[in-house]
Amino acid sequence: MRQAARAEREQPSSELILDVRNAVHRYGSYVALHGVSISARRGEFLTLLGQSGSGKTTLLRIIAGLEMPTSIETLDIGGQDVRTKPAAQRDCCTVFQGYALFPHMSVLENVEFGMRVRGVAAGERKTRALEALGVVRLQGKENRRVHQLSGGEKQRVGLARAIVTRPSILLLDEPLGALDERLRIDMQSELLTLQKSLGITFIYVTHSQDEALTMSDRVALMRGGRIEQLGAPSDLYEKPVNRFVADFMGCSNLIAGQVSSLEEDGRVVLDVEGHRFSGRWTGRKAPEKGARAHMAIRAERISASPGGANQVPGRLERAVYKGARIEGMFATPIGTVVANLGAPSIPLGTGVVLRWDSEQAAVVPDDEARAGS
Amino acid sequence: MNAGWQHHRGWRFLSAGGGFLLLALAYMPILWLMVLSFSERPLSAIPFPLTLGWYEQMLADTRWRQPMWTSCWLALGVGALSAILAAAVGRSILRLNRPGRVIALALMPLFVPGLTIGAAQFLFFRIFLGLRLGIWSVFIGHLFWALPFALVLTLVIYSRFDRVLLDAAADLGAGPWQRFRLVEWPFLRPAFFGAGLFGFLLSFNELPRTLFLRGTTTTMPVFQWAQAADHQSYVPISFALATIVVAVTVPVLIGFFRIAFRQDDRS
Repeated sequence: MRQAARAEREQPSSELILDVRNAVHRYGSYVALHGVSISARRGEFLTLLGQSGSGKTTLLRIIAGLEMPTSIETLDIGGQDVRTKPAAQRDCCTVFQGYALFPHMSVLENVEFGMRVRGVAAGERKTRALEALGVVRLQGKENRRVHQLSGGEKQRVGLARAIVTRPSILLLDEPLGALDERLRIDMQSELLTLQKSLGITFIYVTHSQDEALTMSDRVALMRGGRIEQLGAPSDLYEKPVNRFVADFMGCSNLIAGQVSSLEEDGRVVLDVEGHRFSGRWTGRKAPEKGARAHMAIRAERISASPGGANQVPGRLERAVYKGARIEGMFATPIGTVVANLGAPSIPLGTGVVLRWDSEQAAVVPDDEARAGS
Repeated sequence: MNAGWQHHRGWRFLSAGGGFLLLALAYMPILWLMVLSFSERPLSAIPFPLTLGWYEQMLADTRWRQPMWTSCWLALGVGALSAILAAAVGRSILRLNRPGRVIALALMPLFVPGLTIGAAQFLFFRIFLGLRLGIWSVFIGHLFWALPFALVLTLVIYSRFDRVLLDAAADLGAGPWQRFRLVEWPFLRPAFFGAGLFGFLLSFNELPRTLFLRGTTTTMPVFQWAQAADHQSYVPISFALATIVVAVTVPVLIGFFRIAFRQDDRS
């Protein structure tokens, strides 16, 4: 259902709505952002993905105007330079982590707030607020107090409060972080539907790679105040540019070795303690012979059946039940390899040959060592 | 079965009884004084026969009126100014990165005896600066007595305020004044009025600092103290007077508790 929502949406237009170039931010001697550049097109769903401390929220707050960057070359929203404009005058609106609803106001007053401070007449204000509450399916709850709402309802009020001001960009800071699993999945598809129908650009901050993959047009994976990789979800998933990206995107096997030869079709052969494996090189720079590299191969793409250029003997040591799949931990000469087990499962201790296709395996460079940060 | 002395039901009666006794000891003297202010022979410790005579005498007497006015105006001024200052200072303190030391420094005067502070302020204003003391120096003495209390109250109530709400308001298009009026003030309001009323009470009842700083000004507590120390026939009237003072104080006190500790759905 989520995938369906994703697939049927139109492509975002080519018009740039957000342009950030070389944003630097320091807190004292700590550098939160090392010259980040990113842009978004009108109607795009752009996700800033990363762990806490990666700089994703700082970047979001700089775009919103809630934080003034130490230096920034360009910050355009809708073609307008907003570097010196306060948050109140920027054409974007934030859905805060933890909602930040005004506890001394009713649901309706919360949603009306943005229009009230802009001097919209009371009648129009109420009509538009009720309409926005309808969009987020909170009809009939306009007179509730904030503390009477559930987490999911608070989230919707925060959303209604932001979209009712009709911003060009909606900034969402871990909006689903506080919700339980089930609700989060429902809200994901609801947010997508909403974004599509409103045609607003979403800049979405999350630490969940699952959310990023499911919802985004493009994902920027951040670490230590830099963007490690920016691209379509499938790019990050299938073509990680380094070990960190492969690992963060949930690749279960990262096998370290040395680049031993370069093939003409762009594949490389990796030497792992005498065993040779081939895969697609996905690093940014061209591979170098003898360089340390990793083979990134997902558990679901390894089989114990014939076929596949890469193979290694293994013995099943442990099986972990995951509901939809069973993960097998195999002891092999190159260390533990995780591969999904088919049904019926094989008994522990069984020796098999694990195989995978070189097309399914990415070979990534070691993470670049960084001076300074 | 005896569950052991720690679980004996006697403890509950002891704490309930002890609490009742303490409250009785706190309120009995005041109530007794009020009762005796209606007694024909107040120094006899027997209420009857009752009379309104002392109140008539008090109303006929004009000597206490000026001190009463002085105290009321002084208390109003101290209450208002300490509320404003505490709100301004409290807001700033909670925006500091490490407010602990500043708070400690600001609250220290609470623990210095009133007579000490009064004497110190007297030396400073009268001897060091060579100024003529009067109502202005009493006002300053009272203000710096009320201010730390007002500040404590403001800090406690205002610390419940989450400043991310100001970010949200700015983000939604509110300018600085709108952010204060629509988002911050509703949280600050109970602290503001609570601090004002508490400042009023502290000033209205203040004696030790006033004794040093008053010059020739006489406040109500100074007047009552002088009368009580006098051993003159004025004593019975001062019972009535004290009753009037309580009658002023209690409504203010009730107002203070209602405002400062109101439980509502704001937080």
